[in-house]
Amino acid sequence: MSLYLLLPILAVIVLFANLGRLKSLGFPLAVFGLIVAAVLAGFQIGLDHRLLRGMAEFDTFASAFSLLVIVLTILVVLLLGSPSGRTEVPRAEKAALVIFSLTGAVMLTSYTNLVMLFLGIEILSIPVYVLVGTRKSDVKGNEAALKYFLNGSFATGILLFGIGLIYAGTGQFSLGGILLWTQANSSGIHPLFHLGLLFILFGLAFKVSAAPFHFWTPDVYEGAPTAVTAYMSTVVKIAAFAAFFRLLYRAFPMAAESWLWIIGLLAVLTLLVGNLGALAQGGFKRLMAYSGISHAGYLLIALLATGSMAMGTLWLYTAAYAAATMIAFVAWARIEEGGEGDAIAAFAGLRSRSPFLAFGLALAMLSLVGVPPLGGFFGKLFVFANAVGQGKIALVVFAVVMSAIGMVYYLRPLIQAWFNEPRVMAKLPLRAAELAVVGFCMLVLVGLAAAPAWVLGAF
Amino acid sequence: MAKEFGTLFLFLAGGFVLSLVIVFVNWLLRPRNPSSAKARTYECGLETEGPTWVQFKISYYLYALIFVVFDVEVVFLYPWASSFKSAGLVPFVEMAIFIGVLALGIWFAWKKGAFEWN
Repeated sequence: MSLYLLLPILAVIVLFANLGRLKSLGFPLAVFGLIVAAVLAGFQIGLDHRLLRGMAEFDTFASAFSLLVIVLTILVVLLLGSPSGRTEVPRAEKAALVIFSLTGAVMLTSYTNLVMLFLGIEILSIPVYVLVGTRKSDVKGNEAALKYFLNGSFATGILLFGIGLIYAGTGQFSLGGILLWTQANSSGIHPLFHLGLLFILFGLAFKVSAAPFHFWTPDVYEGAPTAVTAYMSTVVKIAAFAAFFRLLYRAFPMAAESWLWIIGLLAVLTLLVGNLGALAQGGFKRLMAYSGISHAGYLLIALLATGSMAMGTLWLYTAAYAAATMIAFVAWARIEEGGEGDAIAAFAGLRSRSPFLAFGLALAMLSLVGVPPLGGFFGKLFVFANAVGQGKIALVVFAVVMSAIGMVYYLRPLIQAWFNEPRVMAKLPLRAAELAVVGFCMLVLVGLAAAPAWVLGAF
Repeated sequence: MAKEFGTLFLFLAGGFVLSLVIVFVNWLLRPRNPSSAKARTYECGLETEGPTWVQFKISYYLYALIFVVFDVEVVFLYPWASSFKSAGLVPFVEMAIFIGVLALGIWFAWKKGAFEWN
């Protein structure tokens, strides 16, 4: 209950502190409050709380993913508050919006009722719709906000319709209730049930930017301010995948023959679109958007496994992916301030301009490709190992081939940064917040590689 | 139950068709004498000044937005109001918190100037 209460109240306090005489207090309060929330989430691991008359449950899965999501939000808020993230909207308001959205993310990690799934998706998304449009005078920003809002609302509508159809088919809203019903009525399942399941999958697949529901991703990631893009590609994706996992394994494991092939098909399409699309990209934020799409593909493969091993794998992969993406976006935010446009060539000569950032970028890109011994490699290793254990060998071979294609486009920023002459000679000093974020993420990438078995064992 | 849905559908279809019929019959029966004066934009009988396609004033939108939120709040207040006497103290406190949260929303909108008409 503590997180469900703490986060919204923190957001309201930050929002109102910004209005009154305590203007300068709002943003530091947001960071401090988030750190308290992270500590709370950490202490909840191992305890099982049932809340809200059984509609939410903070088991190990929920606590671990809540901790991950809150820590990532702290990093995003630090990036939002740095001068590179400045927009027409004061930073305390943006921090408050992010914390409101984080409440939705925490709901998505811990729900046990389809109504809470819907609420979580909405609470997660609506503040992000606003955040995408905070650069009010930027045409691309307005376009991105409108596209995200329209697409997102439509997808939520489909999700809600699916929930209604599941209720029509089973008479249950709670995940446990649906599982019991499918076990008791394995022969009398109405077609509406399958249709409802399909709609819910499509609604969630949109949020996760799986193909063919990915069309909003490049434009929205490109038009949003970089810190918001960092939030969308890490926290929103992770929360949506946590929700996906919870849905499939707490409510529909008996209906597995209905959705396993759909997830597999989505994974194949997503990997194709993500990797082939990224090859053609010249702008960095669009490249990261397609990179996010391709990683959604790998994560969809991770959804095909079962059991506690699968939970640990999902956590490991998403943590490594998020840390690497965060480094990339901090680097980009810093470079973007120079105003040299949004092509990858803006990274030119980063090695001489900021060796720390160039090294961080190297770790990030190599981890995203899946090069050992970084966190990304272990994530992919365990995901593929789980899938092979389930017998999906062709899918894994395909994924490995796609991963090799990833080498091409992930190395482009690196080549620019390490082997090209800088176009702007100025040194790029990093501010304390950015240093802290990049340093922390690098530690995470290396740490996940050093002790992957510990992470998997904790589940 | 399907019979009730059938009745409802007949009502809907009838209403829809009736409005279409009225407009159509009107179109059939009216005199047709178009003139250039009739085709021009109406501005209270006078000549138009400046462009007749002007930008939508955002204040209308903000007004309607705040209205919708509080209209929904009122809808949520109705069940409590109808069982107020038998409900007791706990629902009262819960509803007070609910109204309080929405009052915070009004306060924020006020401070942000959403209620300024310009």
